[in-house]
Amino acid sequence: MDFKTIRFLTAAAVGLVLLVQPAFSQTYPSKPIHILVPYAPGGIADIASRIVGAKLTEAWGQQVVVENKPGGNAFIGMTAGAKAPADGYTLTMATVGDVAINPALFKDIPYKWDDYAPISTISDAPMVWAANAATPYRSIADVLAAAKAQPGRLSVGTPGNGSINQVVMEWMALNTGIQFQHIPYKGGAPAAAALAGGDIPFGVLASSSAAPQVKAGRLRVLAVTGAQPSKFNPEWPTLQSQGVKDVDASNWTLLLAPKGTPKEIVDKLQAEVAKILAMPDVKERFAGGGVETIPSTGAELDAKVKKTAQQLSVIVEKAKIKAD
Amino acid sequence: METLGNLAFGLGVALSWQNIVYCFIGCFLGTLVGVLPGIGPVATVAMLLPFTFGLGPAPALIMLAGIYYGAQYGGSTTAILVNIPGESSSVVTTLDGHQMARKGRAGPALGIAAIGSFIAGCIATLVVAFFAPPLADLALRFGPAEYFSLMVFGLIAAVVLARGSLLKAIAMVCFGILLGLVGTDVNSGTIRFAFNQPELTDGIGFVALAMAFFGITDVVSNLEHKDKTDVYDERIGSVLPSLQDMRMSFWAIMRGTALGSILGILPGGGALLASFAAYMLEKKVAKPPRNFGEGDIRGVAAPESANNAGAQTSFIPMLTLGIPSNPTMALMIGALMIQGIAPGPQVMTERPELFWGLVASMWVGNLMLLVLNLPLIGVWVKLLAVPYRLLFPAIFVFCCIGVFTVDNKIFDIYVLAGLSAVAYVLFKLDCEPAPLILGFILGPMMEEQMRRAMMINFGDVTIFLTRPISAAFLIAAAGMVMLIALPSLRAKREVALQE
Amino acid sequence: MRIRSPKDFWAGLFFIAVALGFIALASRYGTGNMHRMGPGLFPILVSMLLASLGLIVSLRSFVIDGSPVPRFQLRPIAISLSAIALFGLVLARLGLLAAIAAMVLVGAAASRESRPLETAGLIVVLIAFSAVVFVWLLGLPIPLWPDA
Repeated sequence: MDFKTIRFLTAAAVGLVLLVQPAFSQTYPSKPIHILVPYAPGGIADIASRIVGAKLTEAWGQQVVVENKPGGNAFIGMTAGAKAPADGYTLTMATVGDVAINPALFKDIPYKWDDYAPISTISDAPMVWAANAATPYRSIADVLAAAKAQPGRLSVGTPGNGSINQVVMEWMALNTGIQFQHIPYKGGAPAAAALAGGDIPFGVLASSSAAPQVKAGRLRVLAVTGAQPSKFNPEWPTLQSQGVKDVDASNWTLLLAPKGTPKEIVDKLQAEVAKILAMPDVKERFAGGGVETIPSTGAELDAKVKKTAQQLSVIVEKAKIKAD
Repeated sequence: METLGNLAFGLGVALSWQNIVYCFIGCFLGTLVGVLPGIGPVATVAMLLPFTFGLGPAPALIMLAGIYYGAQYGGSTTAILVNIPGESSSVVTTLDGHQMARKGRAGPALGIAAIGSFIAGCIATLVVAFFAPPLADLALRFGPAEYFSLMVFGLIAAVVLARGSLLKAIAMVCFGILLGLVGTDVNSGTIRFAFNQPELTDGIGFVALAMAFFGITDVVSNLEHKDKTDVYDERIGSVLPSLQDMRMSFWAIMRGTALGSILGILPGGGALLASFAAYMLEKKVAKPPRNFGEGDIRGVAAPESANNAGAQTSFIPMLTLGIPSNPTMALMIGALMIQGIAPGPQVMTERPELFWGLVASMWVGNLMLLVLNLPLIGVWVKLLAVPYRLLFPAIFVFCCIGVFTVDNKIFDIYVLAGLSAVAYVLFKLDCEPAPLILGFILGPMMEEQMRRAMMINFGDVTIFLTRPISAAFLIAAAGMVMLIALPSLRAKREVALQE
Repeated sequence: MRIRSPKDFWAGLFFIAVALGFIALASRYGTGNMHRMGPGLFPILVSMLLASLGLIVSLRSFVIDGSPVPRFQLRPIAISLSAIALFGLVLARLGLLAAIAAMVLVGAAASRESRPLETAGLIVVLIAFSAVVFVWLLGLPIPLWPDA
C-alpha cells in the first residue's frame, strides 16, 4: 500500500465513524453529562440542575456534572450552552428571563431561542407582591389608590434591573395606568431584607425569599403574580383577582440542549426528566423552596417561551426598561 | 443565658464528626501553607478556597475559619524559627521570638505562641458570642443611609490604620474603588469599564485580585531575593514553657487578648494592627525586667494573643453587617456568596446553625491548633527546609486553580496575570495593597447604598445627618480625619506603625 | 528641580494616569441628578480625588526625600506572568494536566535554581495531587484532558 492509499483509507474510516455516530445515540449516555447553569450556585436554576442531575445519574449510571458559568446577564452560560457540541452531553438550565426577557432587553445579545433544542420545563416559582408589615397597605386596591395619589413616589424593590420581578411591576403599572419608583437590589435576599427592614414599602419577590419574613411578621403578601394562586399558599390572592388585568408571570426554569442535538437524545432526556419531575421525593425537595415541578414536552416548552417572550417584550418596550 | 444555650447548640453543630474533620483539615492545611514564608492568611485562604466549594455552607465556613487560624499560627512558627514573618501580623513576633530561638528557647517561644493564641481564642469566641447578636439586631434597622455612612467610616478607618504614607493609602483606596466599579451597575444596569468583554460584566473577580496582590506578588518578591532561608535547625527542645514563663506571660496574654478583641472589630483593623498595638503596649506596661528585642517571652505572648483575638473578632462585622473588616473577611464573604448565602444580619436568624456552628468551631479550631501544633512543630520545621524552587511552582498552580474554579472562567486566569503586573509595580512603588482591597469591596457597596438612599429619599442629602446612626458614623469618621490631621498625632501614628 | 523621592513621583503619575483613564470612560455614562444619580457620577468623583492625590504625591516628591525605585528584576515577574497566562491558554484547549505541566515547566525558569529532574518530578506530583484532590475528591468541574 502506498502512502496515498493509506491516507484515503484513514479518511474514509474517519468519515465512516462520523457517519455512524448518530447510531451511537442508542448507547447514550456513554460519558458524563454536563449541565451548564448561567448563574452562581444557590439560585433556582442551580438547585434545579442539582436535583435533576442527581436523579439522572441514578437512572443512567452516568455522572452529571453541574457547571456554574455565571456572569454577563447570563450571556456567558447561555452562549456556552448554545455553542456546545450537539451531542446531548452539554445541557443548559435557563430561567424564563434568559430566554424571554433578555432578547427584548439587550441590543447585542449573543444567543437566540433558535440556538437551542428545547427539552422540558422544570420548575415554577411563584412571585409575590409584598408590603412591609408596618405600612397601612392591606390589598392591591390600597396600593393602587396610594400610587394614584402620589405618582412615581412609591418605591418598589426587586432583585435587579431587567429581572422578571421588575417586568411584573411595570406590567402592573402599565395595565393600571400608574407609576412606581423602581429600586433594584443585588439579588433577592438583599431586596427582601430591605423590605423587611422598612427601607422600602413594597417589593416583588420570589415567594421563597418572602416566606421567612412573612412568618417573622415583617412582611405582608398582597398578591401572587401568577394567574393561579400558589399551591403552597392558596390564601394569597392573585393580582388578576384584585383587578389587575392580564398580569400572569412566575419565575420558571427550563432545560435546553444545543440545536441540532439528535431527536432520539432529546426525546430520551425529555422522557427521563418527566419521570424524575413526577417522583414524590423530587417534588418534595422543590416544594421545600416553594417551587412546583412542571414537566412538559419540548414542543410545549417552545410554545411557552415564544408566548412569554412576545408578552414580555411588549412590556419591556412600553415601560422603557433598559439595561445597557 | 440564651447565649449559652446558643453556644451549646453551636457546639452540637461544630462537634458533628463531619465538621470536626473539616475543621481539622482546615487548621492543618492552613498551618501547612501559612508556614511557608511570604504566604499570608489572605493568600492562603484564597488558594485553599476551592477545597470548600464541594461542601455545604456550614462545613465550608468552618473549614475556611480553620484555614484562617491555621495560617495565622503557621506564620508565627516561621517568624520564630526563620526570622521571616509568614505574614504581616507576625512581623512583631520575629522581634523577640527569633531572639528566643537563637538563645535555644525556640520550644518555649513556639509553645507560648500556641498557648497564648489558645487562651485568646477562647476569650474572643465568647466576645463574638455575646456581642454579635445585639449588633445584628441593630444592623437589621440599617437602611441605605446607615450603610453608606458605615462604609465611609470603614474606609477612613482602613486608611488611618494602614501602614506607610497616608496620601498613598487614600489613593490606593480610590484605585480599589474604581476597580470595584468595573461591571454592571446595580442601580442602572449600565455596564461600566468592561471594554465590551462579557466576562467583565460581573466585575473583576475578587479572588483573582486578592491572589494577584498577595499571593503572586509575594512569591515574585521572594524569587528576587536569593533562595536562602536561615532555618533554625538545632533541636527545638521541649515546647512546654516553664512555670516561670507562664507566670510572666499571663498578664501579657490577657492584655493582648483585650486589645486584639477590640481592634479586630474595627474596619481595617484585624490581626495586623492588633499585634503591633499589643507589642507596643507590652513594652510600656510590662513589669521589669524588660528585655524586649532580646528574647522577652512577653514580646511573643502579647502579640500572638492579640493577633489571634483580632482574627476572631473580625468575624463580628462580617457576620452581623455583611461588611469585611479586612481582606481575609472579604474572601469569607465571597465564599458565603458562592454558597448562595448573602451575608448580613439575617444570617443569624435564618441560618442559626451556620452562625452558632461557626462561633463554636472557633473554639474547637483553637483547641485543635494547640494539639496540632505542639506535636507537629517538627514537621513544620522540615517543611521550611523544602527549597523554595520547589514550592513556588506549586503555589502558582494552586493560585491558578483557585482562581479558575470560582466561576469556571479561563478569563479570570488572564485577569490574574494582568492584575499581578499592576500589583507588582505598585509593590515596587511602596503602595500598600490592603487599602486597595478594602476599597475594592467597600467602594461599590458605598455607591450602591448612596444612590439607593438618594432614590428612596428623592434627592434629599440631609438624610445622612438626620438619621441618628448614620450621623454617628459620619461624625466618628470626621473625628478620625481631624485626629490624623493633627501633626502631633500623625507623628505618633508613624512611630506606632513603623516600629 | 530634582526628584528626591522617585517612588512617590512614579506612584503619583500612575495614579493620575489611572484617574484620567477612568474619567474618560465614565464621562460617557451620564451623571444624572441628586435624586437619580447617574452611573458616571460616582466614578468621576472618585477619579477626581485620585487624580488630585496623585498630583500631590508626585509634586511632594520634589520636596521630601525618599528611597529610589528598587531595580526591577525582569526574570521572575515576566516568567511568572507568562506562566500564569500560559496556564489559562493550555487549560482552555488541552485540559488541566497539560496546563499544570506547561505552567510548572515555564514557571520553574523564574528561579535560577530550578533543576530539570526536580521539575519533572514536581509536575508528576502536582498533576497527581490536583487530579485526585480537586477533580476526583472535590468533584470540581475542571476538564482533565481535551474532550474527545
